[in-house]
Amino acid sequence: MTTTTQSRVNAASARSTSSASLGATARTRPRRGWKHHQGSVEHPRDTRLKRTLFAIAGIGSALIFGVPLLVAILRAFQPNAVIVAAPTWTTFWSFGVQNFESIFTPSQHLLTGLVNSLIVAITAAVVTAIVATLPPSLD
Amino acid sequence: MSSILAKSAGRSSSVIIGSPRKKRVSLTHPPRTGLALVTPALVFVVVFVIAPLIIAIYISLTNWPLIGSYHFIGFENYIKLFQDPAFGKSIGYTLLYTGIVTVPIVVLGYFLAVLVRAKRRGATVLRTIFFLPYVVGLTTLSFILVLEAQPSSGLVNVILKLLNITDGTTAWLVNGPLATGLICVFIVWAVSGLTMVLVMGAMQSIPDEVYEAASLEGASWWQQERLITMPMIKNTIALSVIISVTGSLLAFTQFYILTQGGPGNETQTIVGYIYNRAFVQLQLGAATAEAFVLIIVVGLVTAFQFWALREKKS
Repeated sequence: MTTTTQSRVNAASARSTSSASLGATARTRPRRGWKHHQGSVEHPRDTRLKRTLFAIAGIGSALIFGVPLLVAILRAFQPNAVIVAAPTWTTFWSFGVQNFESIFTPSQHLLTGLVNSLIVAITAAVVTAIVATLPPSLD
Repeated sequence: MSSILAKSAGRSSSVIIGSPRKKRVSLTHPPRTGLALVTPALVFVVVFVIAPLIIAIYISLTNWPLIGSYHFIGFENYIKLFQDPAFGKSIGYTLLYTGIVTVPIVVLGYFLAVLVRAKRRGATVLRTIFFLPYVVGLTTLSFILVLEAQPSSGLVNVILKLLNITDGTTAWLVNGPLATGLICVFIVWAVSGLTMVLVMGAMQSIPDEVYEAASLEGASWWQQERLITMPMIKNTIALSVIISVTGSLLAFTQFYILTQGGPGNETQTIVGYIYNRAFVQLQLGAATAEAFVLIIVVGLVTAFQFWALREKKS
């Protein structure tokens, strides 16, 4: 019984703080069709704590998910010798476009592959579009 | 199609002749009309699904090489299969791998969905970032990991050395348990974005009135999460679990690129084993038999999941 009362008081205080911090703008302009969810900024119970947690967890996860992909992009600009050697602060940031130059030389046939993929992709898209929009009499 | 069928059904019911015991025959719509309507679909299924399946069953009963002549050998492929300890080992390894990665994928996907489900500033950017590894694809990511897992030069080792966890010379890919651990972490990182998208969509379809009622009752955030969100998205979680388990049972790309099943056959998955049988040893008959065993294993596991995650009647 005591805990229930306690949590009700907590909920009430949380509601009052959020309405104070959000101000009247969020209330006077309710967006149509948008349903706010648990954790939403427009949710009456959005608190400063929740926003802080969102910022910390969001930045942390974004680093974990984004940095490896960024490193992969950086690797594309490094010379081969830098990639296979133990990285140091001086060599890791030596970037160049030599890898791109070498793959676009005619002997690498990268362009042939790109053109072939393009042909396959466009043909598949066109055929799919034609087949999918066949006369409705077959339905 | 369905509307026409419904119409014809309605019309034919008024002109049915004969007693109820006899076959129901429509005068206006003879059976051959229905047959003609389903024939294209039927031909398609027979030619592209049933016929290849029957041919595959036949191939699994022969000693079919990739090139050259073959002859019928009955169930010899299947008998040999169950006497081969390497095949059993690869099944065991695949089940172990599935057991390790499934729960982290679903839990991390759920956590990411909680993070980005609300309309906050930056939530859309975060959604994109979390889903990016899935879009880039396992093949590309695996090649990147080959580079970054090299002893002393790869960034995995460099970062672990900076954090004083290892000395930075770990050869991840030539040690069975280490390679398994690395691949598991990598896969959880790479594919939990899909679970996030599925779970987030389900979370956003929960009506807000439910949460409003709960918060009026004084339910805490965790109570709302446990008693409202989780039960209401149960079906989607079940779907993510099934997708994740099926994907793990059929894992091939990451193992093929990172370890080639090595060292020895310590990290050989079932699909890797079948691939070796078919395209390295060129024994297509035996490989097809193995593929059928795999189909049965995946089917049994999925059927068990459907049973375990079914909608329970209260």
